[in-house]
Amino acid sequence: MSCLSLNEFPGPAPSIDCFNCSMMRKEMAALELAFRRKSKITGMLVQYIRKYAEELKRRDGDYVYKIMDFCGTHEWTIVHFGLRSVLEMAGVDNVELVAGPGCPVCVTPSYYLEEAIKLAFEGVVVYTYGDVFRLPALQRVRGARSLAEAKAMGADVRLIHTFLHAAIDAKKHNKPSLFLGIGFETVAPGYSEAILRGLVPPNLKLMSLVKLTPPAMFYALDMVKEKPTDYPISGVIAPGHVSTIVGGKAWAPVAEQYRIPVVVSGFEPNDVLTAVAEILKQIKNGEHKVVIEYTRAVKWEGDLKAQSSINTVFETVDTAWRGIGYIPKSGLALREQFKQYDAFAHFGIPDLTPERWRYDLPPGCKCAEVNLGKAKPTDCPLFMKACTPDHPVGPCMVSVEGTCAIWARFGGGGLALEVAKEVGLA
Amino acid sequence: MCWAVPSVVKRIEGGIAFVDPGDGVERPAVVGIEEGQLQVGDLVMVHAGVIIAKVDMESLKESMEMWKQMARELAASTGEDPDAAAKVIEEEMWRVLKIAEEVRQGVSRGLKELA
Ligand code: SF4
Repeated sequence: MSCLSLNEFPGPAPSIDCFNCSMMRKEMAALELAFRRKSKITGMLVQYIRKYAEELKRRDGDYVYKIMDFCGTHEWTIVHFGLRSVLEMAGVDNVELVAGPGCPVCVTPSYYLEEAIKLAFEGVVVYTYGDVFRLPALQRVRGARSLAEAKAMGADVRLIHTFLHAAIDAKKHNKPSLFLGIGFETVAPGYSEAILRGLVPPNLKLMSLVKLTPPAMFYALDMVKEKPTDYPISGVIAPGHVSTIVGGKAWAPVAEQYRIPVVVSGFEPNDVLTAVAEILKQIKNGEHKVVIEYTRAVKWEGDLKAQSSINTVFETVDTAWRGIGYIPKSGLALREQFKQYDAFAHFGIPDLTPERWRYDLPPGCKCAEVNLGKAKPTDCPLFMKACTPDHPVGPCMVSVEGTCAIWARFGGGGLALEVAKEVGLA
Repeated sequence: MCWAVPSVVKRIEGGIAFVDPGDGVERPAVVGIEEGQLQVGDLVMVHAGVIIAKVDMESLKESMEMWKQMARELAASTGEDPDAAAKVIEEEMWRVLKIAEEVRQGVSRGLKELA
């Protein structure tokens, strides 16, 4: 099938009202509903967590067990339902849930954004996801600090919700076009399949900024270990949807090397609480296994077809994470034989190198520490003062999955009181 | 970025599946998983326009078994009754299975509830 027959697809035209966002709102409502009706399970899980925490306290005194949730959506669940506060209300004070580097928008270097803004002003149609639209670059390009500002100044920046929509739209106008391909492993098969199936028109080039999560997980765990005064991460809640592609097996080296439990979890509050309970159980028993809690979507091997499609089109490269620097083998670049789709080659964008990489967060912004689990948003002096969702200073305040934006929206408590009442804690 | 929207496959054409996330509007999605596995009427998770997983009755039942097993282990290790814990899970989960069945029959309300 070629692009041609896709021209008349019956969905809505790509527009500012992002499909993902409106669906997300719906899904949030659905999540709450599903959760409410399973509050018996929630109560049970909170009780288990409390008992494990008490047992660990008897054994290890004041030692604090830090559990890192990698994925921005897990952080959303934790904050929205106030799970941290619920555990506090249950008297659990030796378990801390820590957010990790799980938002691809937050960790995309400013450099690429600046290059995209530059091209937008040079007449290239730039396609991007809604989250990236307002993302602030470190340096202004011809007066614009974001793609949104560039659009306001006349550049042709178009919001789409999938690569496929960009392909459909670009084919219609045939102007030189760029797709800002941000994301983790979950988006990669969308790019590789579209390319392999010949759905990408010749005027549309992909700027592959895909990042790989297991290397970042290793990096974050090492970083926290660097500070001997601090407690290391004792367990990991691994990303659910990334794992549908890479499989539970991708986390085995993390569990093995750091000797900590890893649980691949779904995104309902009960999924996350199950993961926490399982991690504490393993710690208590001295185990360090990878367990898939999200069996309704994730297999141990992952999706072999998606993996082979990604490997055919992309190669693994060292890549820069915003504010953090280069992480070895943590990015995907188009292979030589697919160079005709490559925005870097086509538009002559020099790729960033470790030598040219510079710290790229605005002064005072602690996003790098927040993303590595070393700081909470509330540790940043700008949080909800100079930096708010309406006027974001740093990248973590922009994306709906940025840790600062999530904390800003729900505060610390979220629905904690309601949840606590339903499970008999308040 | 990790959000995935549960949707129903309405038709498949050469690697592109047209999916309905429950609002009656079909959207194209790239089939990221083995295409042979996919059939019209299947419930799938769609992430940024890519089908990343198929959620079938089989895997939902597997999920329930896994949850029951976990509940048993958790209960046993805190000195509670494992069978009672498994029963709580079973009773609460049958509803999810029912919704999944409704989804398979194209009831969109069920789809919205099945997060
Ligand atoms: S509050 Fe704003 S400035 Fe501070 S870490 Fe978060 S995004 Fe950066």
